[in-house]
Amino acid sequence: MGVKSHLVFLKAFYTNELAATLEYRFNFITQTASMFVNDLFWIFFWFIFFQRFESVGGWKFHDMMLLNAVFAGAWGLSMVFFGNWKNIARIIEQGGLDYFLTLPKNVLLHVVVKMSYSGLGDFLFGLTLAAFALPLSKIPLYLFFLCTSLFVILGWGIFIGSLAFYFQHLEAIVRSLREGFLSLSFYPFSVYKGFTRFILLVVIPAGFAAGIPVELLNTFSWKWFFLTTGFSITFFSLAVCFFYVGLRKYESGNVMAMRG
Amino acid sequence: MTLSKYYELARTDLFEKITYFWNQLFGALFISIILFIFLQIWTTLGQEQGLLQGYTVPQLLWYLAFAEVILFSSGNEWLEKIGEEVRSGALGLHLLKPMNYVGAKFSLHFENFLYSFFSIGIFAFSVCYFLVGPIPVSITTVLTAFIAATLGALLNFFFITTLGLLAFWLEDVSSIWWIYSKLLFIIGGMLIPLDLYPDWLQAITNYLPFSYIMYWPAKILVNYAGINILSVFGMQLLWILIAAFILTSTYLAGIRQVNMHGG
Repeated sequence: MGVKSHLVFLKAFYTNELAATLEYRFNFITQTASMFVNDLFWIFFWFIFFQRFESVGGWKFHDMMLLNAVFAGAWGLSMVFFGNWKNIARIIEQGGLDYFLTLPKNVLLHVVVKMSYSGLGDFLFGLTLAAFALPLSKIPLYLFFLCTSLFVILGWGIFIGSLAFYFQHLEAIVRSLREGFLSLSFYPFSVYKGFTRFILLVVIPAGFAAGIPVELLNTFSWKWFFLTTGFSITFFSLAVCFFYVGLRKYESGNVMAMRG
Repeated sequence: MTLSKYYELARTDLFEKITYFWNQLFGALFISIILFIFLQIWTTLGQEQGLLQGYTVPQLLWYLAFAEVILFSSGNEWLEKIGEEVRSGALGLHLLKPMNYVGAKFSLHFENFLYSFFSIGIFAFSVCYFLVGPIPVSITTVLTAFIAATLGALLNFFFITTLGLLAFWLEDVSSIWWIYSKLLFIIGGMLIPLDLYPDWLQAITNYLPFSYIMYWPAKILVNYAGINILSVFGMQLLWILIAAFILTSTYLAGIRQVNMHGG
């Protein structure tokens, strides 16, 4: 399948998903609004936190707004368009890949593509915060970082999900790794120093998902801009390769499955 | 009505959990990540500002560890499970059994709390000990904190079961779970002690039940001085009674909506 046929597939898929979603309009609106409110609670937490402490390692409330704008926005995007990335390990463990292997390639795209509308609340929240926290001139850069952050989040999800090709009963661990990544990304990046900062940039790349984009939105640097862009694309590509290498070890589960 | 069937139910579930002990423990790895993050935050703030509202960095980390263990042992994911049972009709099948639905959930919940508190607790407290060392506590303090945590878990059970049963009227309760968990995290003082909040917010939280689930039990453990224990236990019991009444009313109203067919 070429790029054009992938785009045709995605367009058809999302059109169907959207039609199905709008069948349950009330549920759709409730979940989107609830996730937005859920995110508001986090910002409220940081608001009261910075009422007590003026700054943490140089980061102030405004930086936390930017962090939430970038990370919640990118996380929301990942859920809206590729909502199954969180379920890769479960699908592999339960032998559910059989269904996807019968479809025209690309297998991984078929696995991850799904609309999870709770993510829309996150995405809208991110955009709203960005509109409040950033001048108009920085919005294009913000949108660019949404994309790099999306690559890092998806890359991490694909990488930890693909571990299920090599180890069994991994779902709980994968959940911990996913939630851990989320948490490491969601707190002020300024508190991580030295070796910890290095780990969070290279091993568990939570820093590139949110912390570094926030620092770049505050103080732009070409060096870190290119590092962030290069890392996010490379990391995502390596994660995809890791999935396909693991796929060679996959054994059929003889499971009857439907896309859902 | 004999209670032995509820005991057997809890016992069977306990054996199943023990089988997957390591899986659950690996799942609790998340706690160590949160502890690590907050150690960085408190250390940075401690270096910048010294004592944090009377708390030391080790006290704040032990507070968080205890609150996290209560959260992980409280089975909050049950809210969505109960909602799913109502939505899918599995609750209807349960009604055919000679066992009260809420009673069965209670026995499983309590068994889950005791098992998880000790299994996850050993892990989380070991990580905390490794990160910041011990804090001075007496056996009496630990026991009092545990009793408060148990009462908190009981209060939490009534809340999550009630919210799960709202699926009788709502299509999806997962959004309720998101909001409830954030109330516990923030207004309930799971992430940071409520003493660190502005005064106006502390005043509001005193009138709400959420602080009695995690904040007070964890505070008793790390900063016992000056706490009126009888007042804390009294408020916990009062909220338990109120929550139990709300749960009973919700359950009775909900099962009136159940229509069962043969087949």
